[in-house]
Amino acid sequence: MGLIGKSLKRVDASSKADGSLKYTDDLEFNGRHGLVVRSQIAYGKITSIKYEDKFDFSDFTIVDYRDIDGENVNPILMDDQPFLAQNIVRFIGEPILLLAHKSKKALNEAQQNIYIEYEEFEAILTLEDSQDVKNVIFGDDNVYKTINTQKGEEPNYSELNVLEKTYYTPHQEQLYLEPQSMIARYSNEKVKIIGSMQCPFYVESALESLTGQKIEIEQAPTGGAFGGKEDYPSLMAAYVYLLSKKSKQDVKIVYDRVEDIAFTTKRHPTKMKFKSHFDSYGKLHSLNIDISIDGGAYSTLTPVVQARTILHIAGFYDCEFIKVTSNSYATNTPPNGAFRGFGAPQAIFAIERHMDDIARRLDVSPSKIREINLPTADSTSVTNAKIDEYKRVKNIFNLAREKSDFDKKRLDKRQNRGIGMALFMHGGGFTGIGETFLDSEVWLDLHKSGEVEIKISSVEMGQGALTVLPQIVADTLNLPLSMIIYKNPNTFNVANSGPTVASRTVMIVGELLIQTAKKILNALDKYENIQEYKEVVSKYLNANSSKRFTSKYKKPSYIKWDEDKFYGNGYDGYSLACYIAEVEVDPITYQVKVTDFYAYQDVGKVINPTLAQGQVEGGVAQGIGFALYERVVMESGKIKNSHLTDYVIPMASDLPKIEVGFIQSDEKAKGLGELPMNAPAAAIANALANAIDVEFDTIPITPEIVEQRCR
Amino acid sequence: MKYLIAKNLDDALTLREENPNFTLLFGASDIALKMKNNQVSGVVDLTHLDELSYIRKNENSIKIGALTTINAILQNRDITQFIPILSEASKEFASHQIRNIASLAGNVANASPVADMIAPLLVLNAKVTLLSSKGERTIFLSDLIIGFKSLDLNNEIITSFEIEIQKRQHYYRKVGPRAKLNIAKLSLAMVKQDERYFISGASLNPYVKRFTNLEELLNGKNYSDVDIKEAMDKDISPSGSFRSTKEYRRKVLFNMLGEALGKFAI
Amino acid sequence: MQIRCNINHKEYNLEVEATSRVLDVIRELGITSPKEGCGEGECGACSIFFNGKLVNSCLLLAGQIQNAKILTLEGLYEETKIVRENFETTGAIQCGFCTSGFVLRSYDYVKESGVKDEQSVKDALDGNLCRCTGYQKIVDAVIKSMA
Repeated sequence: MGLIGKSLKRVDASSKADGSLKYTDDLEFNGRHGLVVRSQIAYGKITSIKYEDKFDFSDFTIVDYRDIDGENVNPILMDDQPFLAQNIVRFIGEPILLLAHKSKKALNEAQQNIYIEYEEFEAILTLEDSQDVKNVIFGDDNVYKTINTQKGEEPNYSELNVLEKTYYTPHQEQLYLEPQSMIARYSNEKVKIIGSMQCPFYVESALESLTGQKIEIEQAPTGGAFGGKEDYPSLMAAYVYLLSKKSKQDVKIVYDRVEDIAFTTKRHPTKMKFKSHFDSYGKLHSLNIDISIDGGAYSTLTPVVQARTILHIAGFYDCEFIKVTSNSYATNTPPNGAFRGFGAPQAIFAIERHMDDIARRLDVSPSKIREINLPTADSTSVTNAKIDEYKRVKNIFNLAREKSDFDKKRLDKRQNRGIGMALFMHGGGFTGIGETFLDSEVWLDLHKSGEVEIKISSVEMGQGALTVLPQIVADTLNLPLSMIIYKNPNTFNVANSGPTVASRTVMIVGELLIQTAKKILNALDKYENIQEYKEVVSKYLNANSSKRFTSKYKKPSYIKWDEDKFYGNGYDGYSLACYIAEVEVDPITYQVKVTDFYAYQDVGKVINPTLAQGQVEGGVAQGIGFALYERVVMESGKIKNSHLTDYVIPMASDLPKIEVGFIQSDEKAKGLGELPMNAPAAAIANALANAIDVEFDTIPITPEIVEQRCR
Repeated sequence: MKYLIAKNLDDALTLREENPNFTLLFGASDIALKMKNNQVSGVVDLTHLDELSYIRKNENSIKIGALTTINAILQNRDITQFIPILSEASKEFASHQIRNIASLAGNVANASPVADMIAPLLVLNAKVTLLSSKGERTIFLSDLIIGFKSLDLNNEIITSFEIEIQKRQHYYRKVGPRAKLNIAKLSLAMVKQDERYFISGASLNPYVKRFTNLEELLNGKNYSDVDIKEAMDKDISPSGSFRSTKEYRRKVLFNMLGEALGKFAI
Repeated sequence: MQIRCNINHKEYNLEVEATSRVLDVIRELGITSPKEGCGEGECGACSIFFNGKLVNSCLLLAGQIQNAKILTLEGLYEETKIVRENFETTGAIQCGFCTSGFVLRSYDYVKESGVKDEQSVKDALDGNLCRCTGYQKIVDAVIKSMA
């Protein structure tokens, strides 16, 4: 007992601090390097692939779609993405061939000697062109998915004010510091995959599609992910698998940074049109929102990002009529994917900007407009659910305002300085029926030594799972942390506890571990200390053949969700937060600096305060990057700024001291990983409106844009 | 690819003459990228020539060896005291790790339009000494850089820079996308010496040069904002690239000129 | 080219291509704390000491380290003890990929008796990128190491 709430040192701290921890590219390797040969056009048909006669390809492994024994489909949601292009290519960078050779230099040379010719089709390169159906590139109308939802009765509009505004969020690159890396180890005609990933069982599922078999997948220490290693590693694994199987050797692919930025998944660009009706006090009466999402060339995770965007698009505000329409579109650009927040940062930017925009028009303070619209006991969500956390929103709202002295500072008219806020939430776990579909399971194995081994598929990617989950188990069993074993997951050895995404690791998987640990407690005789514990374990293991304790996810009966109608409560639980940003604009250079930042959240129980603070500080930093610095410059379907010199992320000098605080309430812990990403952009844009009286509806808010708007 | 290490200065000259198309390595903060882009046909490595790494103050000037690193310049007390604009420019140069290998000559010889050290050197009226097997010559830096990434070099190697010690007021500001580790969107280097202005800046032209129209205008007594804008537009031709826009560069340069003049007026 | 150099107090006689990157030369010897985050000198994950100066090994060519003394985190175990302990206890480490670069830079800064205020420390870290931590606890760890 008593480990919950303690800032225990990370179990992997010393091996990371002394440089001894081996990431994928650090592992012993004597095999072939792999290289992906990619499409040079955005949309078209491959008409020929020619190999230069004068170049000796004999020592190269060459793979194309014909080397796939199973299905050439990366199974995610809509099964439209091939591992390797067969004859149609749909984005610049789409993989066509794979090469392997002992020497990286030889690979680069070989690539120069392969000539691929295409018949080009008219590509759709922007969301607008896709919506206008300038050309049909998917289905009948370029739409991946349509989800509409509506609740309540329309009010009498004649008595109300109206505001129509459109908000736009762009691509964002996850920029995990360790690039995509994957190894295939070849031995006895079998291939084992080891690499940087968030979801070992997703990779297993992908390779099962590719090969018809279950392949052994092991996660290696992962240097950051943030969603960028949710589905992409499945492709990496397929590439090294195919090359390894064909060459009968170990194969490794490690992307260089430029390739990683240019061709891997990004946050979905999203356009959100609002038409709201409200009274003169600012109380909302109707929200009509249309969402358009750019999915890229293949749908991958788009429908779920879309669902989450909808479920966060009205924040926690309620009014008598809410209508949300949404469509996700295909474009001939690299497929977009998961990035911390997964639609919520996009949605919260829009709704929190919109609330401030309403406030400005009525000359009402940002605090007042939110106060008036806080959910009450009668409130329901966008999809008509009564949400338990509604009653706690007021607390976090008031705390953040108090700690930052928001209301007073807002009235202080300081030149070029301003303060802004965002009130928001994050639904933890998979959306809708997702957790039921995942059907997560956890295993705890009781060893003779008394050690308890966690056997799950959740990975450590920096967020602290390797420490926090054992901390939870140790706490439940009243054991020291050192008696809990938790190795990097290998699909042949562990339960499928689902992917390490969606802020579900502590909330869902942690909860299952508590349940399972309690089963151990119930199975063992009582013990007062370690010595007694070891004795009762011995006794138990002698009397029972199985050392394994398991639990499976069961959706709480009070959470009701109808997938077909898109109706009900989309999440098992919500984390709440209110973030406040103070900004200063340099009148000479128009650069925006965030001078102070207050991040207050209610995530229920905080397991490890230092690690939790780290999640907030890191997420806020990424949110500040999203708001002010990070731009993906796409031209003719290709990312122009794929070098780190030009895809600019904040450094230490760009970031303020972030005041982090938690309200501890519930017994259960909620999701924390993504929450901090959702709001900095809105808080900063709102602060800028306060500072220089300009409304920024698009991000990033670069100095060039500030200069333009200030003319 | 051939890689030749110069053992001493004479050796360096010989290697230079024998391999005029090879890239001269002065520090190596730029060559890795050049190699990736297949822009290097061979290398003549000068970085082992310790005799080219020095900062010497004499009565009237400070002499800086070609291979002196930017950090060595940043940390040097004489430079901080007597030619502070160079210290300030060094502080904004790339990152600590890059400042430890980037050399003054490397930054100059690359002659990139975004080079950080050229504008401050120009407004200090820096002279550069060039050596070849045929002898040595010393010219003004402004005569060396003649176009986009082109130097008026005749199989010569830069060996040192010399800057006169004078009573100067100075202004230096570099603007990038964030606080540190930036490629300049623009920069302004300005010196007022004996009632005369010397002005230059990076990332505002195909190569870094003096802003002679602005200098002439400001050296005179009367001028308006409109005059400044007109002179400025004659001195700069900023490209609109994805890094920044023409409008931004123009506007911010104008603002910085105002800030500089304000500083000098005090 | 034959390159003679001292890496982590050990003499090496290497046969490498002179134009290969020092980062690759070092990592191929099994010394893996310097990491490739960008290959362009932008992230600092490849930082090493080269004749006493902290540099990006992804920018150095093998020919430049002829007769040089190289130190990586593996060769500075004792010297970086205090900095590492502080990184571990303040929570300055998340995914760890940037950590060896930051430890070396922090050690470098503390050794040179850097200025102890937050802004100076942040400015000193102008060659190291972290995507996980937001830098706050890294700055705390550096300041703690200067006590």
